[in-house]
Amino acid sequence: MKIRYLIFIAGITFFLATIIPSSIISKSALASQTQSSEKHPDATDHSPSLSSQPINLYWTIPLIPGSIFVPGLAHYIRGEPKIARRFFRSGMGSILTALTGGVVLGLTGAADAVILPTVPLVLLGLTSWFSLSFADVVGATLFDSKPKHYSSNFDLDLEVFYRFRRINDYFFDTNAYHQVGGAYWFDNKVILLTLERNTEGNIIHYDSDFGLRLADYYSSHKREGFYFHIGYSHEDNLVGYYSVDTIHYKAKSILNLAALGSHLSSIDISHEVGIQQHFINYHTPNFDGIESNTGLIGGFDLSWTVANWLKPAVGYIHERDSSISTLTSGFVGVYYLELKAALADRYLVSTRGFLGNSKVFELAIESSIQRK
Amino acid sequence: MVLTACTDLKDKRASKDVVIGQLENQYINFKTEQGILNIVYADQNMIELRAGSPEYAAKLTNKTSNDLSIKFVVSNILAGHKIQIDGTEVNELEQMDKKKSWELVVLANATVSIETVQNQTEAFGFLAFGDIQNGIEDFDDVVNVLNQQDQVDFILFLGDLTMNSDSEEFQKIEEAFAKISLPIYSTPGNHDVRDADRYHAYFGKASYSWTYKGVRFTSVDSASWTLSKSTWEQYKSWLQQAKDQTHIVFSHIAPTEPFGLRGGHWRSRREANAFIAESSRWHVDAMFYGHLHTLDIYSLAGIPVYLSGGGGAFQEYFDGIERHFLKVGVNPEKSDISVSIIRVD
Repeated sequence: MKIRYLIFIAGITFFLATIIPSSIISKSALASQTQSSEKHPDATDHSPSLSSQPINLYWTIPLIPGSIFVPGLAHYIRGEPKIARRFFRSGMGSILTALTGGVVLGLTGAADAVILPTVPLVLLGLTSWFSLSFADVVGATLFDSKPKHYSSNFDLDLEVFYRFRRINDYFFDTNAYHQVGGAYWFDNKVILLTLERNTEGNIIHYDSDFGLRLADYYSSHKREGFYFHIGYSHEDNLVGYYSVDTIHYKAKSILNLAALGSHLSSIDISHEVGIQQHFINYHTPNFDGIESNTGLIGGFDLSWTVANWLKPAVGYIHERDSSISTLTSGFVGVYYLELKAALADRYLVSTRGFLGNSKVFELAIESSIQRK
Repeated sequence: MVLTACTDLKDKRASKDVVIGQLENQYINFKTEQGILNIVYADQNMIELRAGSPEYAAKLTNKTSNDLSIKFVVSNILAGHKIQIDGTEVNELEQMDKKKSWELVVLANATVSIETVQNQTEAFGFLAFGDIQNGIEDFDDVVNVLNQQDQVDFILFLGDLTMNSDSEEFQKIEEAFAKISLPIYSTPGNHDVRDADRYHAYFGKASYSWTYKGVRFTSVDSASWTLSKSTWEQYKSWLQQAKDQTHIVFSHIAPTEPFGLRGGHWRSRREANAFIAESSRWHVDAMFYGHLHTLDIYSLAGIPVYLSGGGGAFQEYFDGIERHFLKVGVNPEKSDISVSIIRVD
């Protein structure tokens, strides 16, 4: 288990080892740019204007060592030091969060008493660091200076969906799951209900979740804010002779990146971390009773509304209570790539693939409406 | 940080398990039929094996048209280990610590059966612990306390012998284990399978099941935080075979741990719960796990679970225990299992 900490330290070392040469390279690149009279409001006076920088150079930003690991470096290279500083400060906050948890974990050998406060800190810190770095590189590489506003098909009040998940749970001789559900966003609340069933019909999972927005951020996005969620799920597993009742609590943050730079208004990042408490009711000839244990939930999602009809996303999920649970392990979850597309007004299709050798594939059809 | 790539490694280990203990060359065909034998070396004059179980049965076929005189060497054996060749007990040629050799004369194109003299169903004891890793530097302390234990027949090692499964680490483990007077039967840990071939070369199978004095012992390879499909199928068949025996299951990573936030359990909660339910359904009497560097005693679907990772690897603090191992007494006629904790520090 300690190898994870070594990897983390190695990542920090790499970050420190590359930021210096990256900065030197970036300053040389900027020195060769021509000045423009039109300034972006986030640019400082001595930096070249964004609109004057040749767009065909931006693709080189991810190639510069350290740009992927240092939030803000990509925008600094692009000549946006103010935005770079915002990313960098947020990134350092993430690192500090992860280090706080990680150091305590490491020093105590992951003692029971410190697990609950520290592991969520590590998870939150690392996922936010990664998502900020990714958003920095994507924003600096692909976006020009002007914010774009789309009348989005993607964030309407009522969503109803059907998902098909192709996943091989060979211990149950089952290959696929159907999931139906919906989410309703109203005022500062959200309710989510899902029902998942495998194709053989002997694993049935109900899930309910209620979220309350406790704080707004910049209100540039109607779902933006800090939420607290509580939920209950029940699973009947006739194959494995048990049922499970789970209560979960989680904190979730949805942030539109216009907070860091107005040209990033089409990027949303969400992070969540939480705890789930399971009550497993075994029904075997030798034991008919309930045992309990706990688990983590967490992850992040970084989505980009490219157009009214197209929204890719990359994310990381650590979840144990559904068909996705086969993919996660310990502290570590699994990355996914998602593509949502609007087929017609209010109808979306999305597909999600999970990385590695998971062989999991998800296809969803969703319909959304907005309240008048 | 994508560990899903590990899901194929578990399948490779399961495939490797099938061929361990089997050998065919131009001179002989050797096939292990019961128990675990890991082939260390073989030529036309000698075959050296490491026992992965207290008892075993095998067949050796002479493929040549000449009679062969073969030195049969087995290490990691129980005290008082004796074998029969074609049903007749034979005296050993040489005897060293935990190793014996015999002279086998195999006629041209003939097959001999080799099997250990069976032990009677009776009460016995064994030791169990896991997670040595960086603790190998101070392992002599643990060896001294292990060697002081009496009325125990062997040691179950619960995984994570090494940090990175490199050859130098395995060599140190071999040297340390040579100082222990008891044979050691191991299950692989997540650190041991970074080079799984090396683990197999030293310790043989990852998933297996055998009977000793009327008690069934089953190891399942959970080193990838999940079981392979073939291991699952094997496990279900072993459960059914052992339904009337006292059955002890051991592995490295517990399907679920008592305090679930340390990541010390399987990647799929559904798989974990299914494993527990199946084990309970078929009367598993006790489970032993490692991976967490502490001691936890709890139950899963009524099955007592002993999680002991006190072999010396980075210890968990504030848990009231440091290096330790478990001393287990088993009475198969009464299906009685008693466990006591032996502290090294």
